[in-house]
Amino acid sequence: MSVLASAVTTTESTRLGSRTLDAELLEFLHILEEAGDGLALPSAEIGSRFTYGKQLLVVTSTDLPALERVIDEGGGRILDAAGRVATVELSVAAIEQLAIRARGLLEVRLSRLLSPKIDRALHLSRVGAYRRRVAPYGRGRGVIIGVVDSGIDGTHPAFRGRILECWNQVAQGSAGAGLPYGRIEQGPSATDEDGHGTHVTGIAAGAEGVAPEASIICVKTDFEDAHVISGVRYIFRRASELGIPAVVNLSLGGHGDPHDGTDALSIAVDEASGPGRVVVAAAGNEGLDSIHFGRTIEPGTTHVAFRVPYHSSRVVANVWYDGGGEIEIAVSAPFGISTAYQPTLFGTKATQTYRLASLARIYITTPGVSRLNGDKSIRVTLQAVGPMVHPGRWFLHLRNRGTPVTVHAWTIDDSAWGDATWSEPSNSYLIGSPGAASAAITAAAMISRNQWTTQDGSEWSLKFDIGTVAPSSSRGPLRNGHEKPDFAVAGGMIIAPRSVQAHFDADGPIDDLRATMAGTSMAAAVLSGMCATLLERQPTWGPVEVRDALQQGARVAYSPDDGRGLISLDQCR
Amino acid sequence: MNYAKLDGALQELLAESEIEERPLDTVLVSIVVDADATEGDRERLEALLDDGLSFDGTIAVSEVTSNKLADISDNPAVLALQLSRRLSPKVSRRRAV
Repeated sequence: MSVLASAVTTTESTRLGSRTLDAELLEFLHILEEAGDGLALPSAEIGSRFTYGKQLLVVTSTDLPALERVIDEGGGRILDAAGRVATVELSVAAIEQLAIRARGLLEVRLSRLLSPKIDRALHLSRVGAYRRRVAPYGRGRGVIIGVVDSGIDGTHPAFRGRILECWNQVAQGSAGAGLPYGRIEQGPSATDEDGHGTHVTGIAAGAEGVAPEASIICVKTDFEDAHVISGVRYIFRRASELGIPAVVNLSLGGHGDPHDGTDALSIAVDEASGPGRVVVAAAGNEGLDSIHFGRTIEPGTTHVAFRVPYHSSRVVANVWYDGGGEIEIAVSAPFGISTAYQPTLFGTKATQTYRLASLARIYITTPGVSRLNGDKSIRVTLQAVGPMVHPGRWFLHLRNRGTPVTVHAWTIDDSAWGDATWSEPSNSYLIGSPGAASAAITAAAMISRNQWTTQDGSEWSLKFDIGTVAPSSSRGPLRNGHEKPDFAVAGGMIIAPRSVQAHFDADGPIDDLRATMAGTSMAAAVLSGMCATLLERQPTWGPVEVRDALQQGARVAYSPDDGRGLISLDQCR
Repeated sequence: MNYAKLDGALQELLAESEIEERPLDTVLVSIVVDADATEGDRERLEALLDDGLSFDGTIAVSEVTSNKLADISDNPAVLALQLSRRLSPKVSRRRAV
């Protein structure tokens, strides 16, 4: 007789459960039954916690002596008992007898693995239910998760024995064949002085992360997109050499590109992706930052105001419009002083310099049509000539000499005090490279935790509801109308591994090993872990197949806020 | 120099260097290469990118000396040169209360 045959049947368990077995235990027994004899060996693992052997139970009873007798007869043992609650080890087969025979029984339930880490993030996308469904898969085994970021704390126990290597691009030296700079570091010697990379890797592939058995390759980068390109290629090359699939996590981005996936990094991501090679990118966190302006500009002159904050040494406006448009541009400072209008400068140096007294030096660059997307761009840079660009209300003056044309503009600045912002912003079109890459699976962030307690006992909260899109999550679509982001998953607050080398603000540290962070960086990491669990089962899937599978657990309709919405991983193929 | 192939940031950098009389040594660029480029043009481009940085598919990443920019931009295999952009980690700057 198989163990399954002696276990509680669905009908029986339902009946018994109405009395004493809790819902999770009923589900567990049901899963065992559905798994069938084909999988059934007396102690075969069908998941990390799911065995046909002894189960750790928490039993509530008004008659502990009676409970002890039944447990004893069933071959189990009581680990601890006090008052009405006992912790018990008992085989699956004996649970039925326990439920039927033990007098005074109030409830029997499986012990729950408690985790103050990213439990809520995983719960939001039903990662646990997915693992139970696809067991023994669902933990990323046999898949590389590569993270191009600020590094990794190689001593953190969350990654023990699973960091294959780290290409430290920031280190001096020559890493070896094909890597003309940086240094290859083995797991324990890798470091992360910022903490971002460790946190992200921990969410995707930490011991309590989404894919806790994945192998890890780290690229510690300086965030130059040229180096990021090399980092992505390096991870996929190493995965190919090892003959296993890989997911590359890019929890980074910027707004210096055309926001249509035609920049070099996006092209490189598209080209590097393929069977067994998937890239996940963050949508960005600029949802509330007023850094995008977009409008159809009629013939004539349109004045577009933007505010330069204090302490900006450099402010850049990145402007794009259709290649058939004819726009001339001038810039004026808070006191009205203005540059001349500058047209598109074809086939020659396209940058002109203007000095607006001591307020700023202005560079205006108006190249011709881009060969990559057929559009025209304008770059305006305000460079401080003193300690900072003069703060206040500046204007772009757009003189349209052609037909109506839609103009999109993004501000980029280097001030720690805040972004330069448009007076009439549109908080859409906020996904830049590499989230704009066609092949990248791009993550928006949802709120998964809004209260937590830090190491010093302080209690913190966010005024956002769990299960809603984070207001800061960057909205789509792309400038060319393509639909991004792709999906939404948990992005804040997430408790995940903390780099011992990094400094955190007061609301960050949970304990010596964990910290909170929020953003689409964290969401991308959750999504990377999910993709790894899919590649674990289907190692030849590429981004198209992985996206299709994720779509099974998401909404059909696209929204610029969250793409196809929250993924329920347990619904994915 | 084929300025039409240089992105705005690279053109601005060249202009800034000229104004400040601060010659550029090297610049980190991404080069977008025509997928249909002739083998000869592609080989000539590779010879200019002697720093050994990665060149896969249609994207080359290279730290090029500024005096090679003209030759690179004039190569028919090259569609565009982009100055490397500094990206940011996408962690939210908004703090808790």
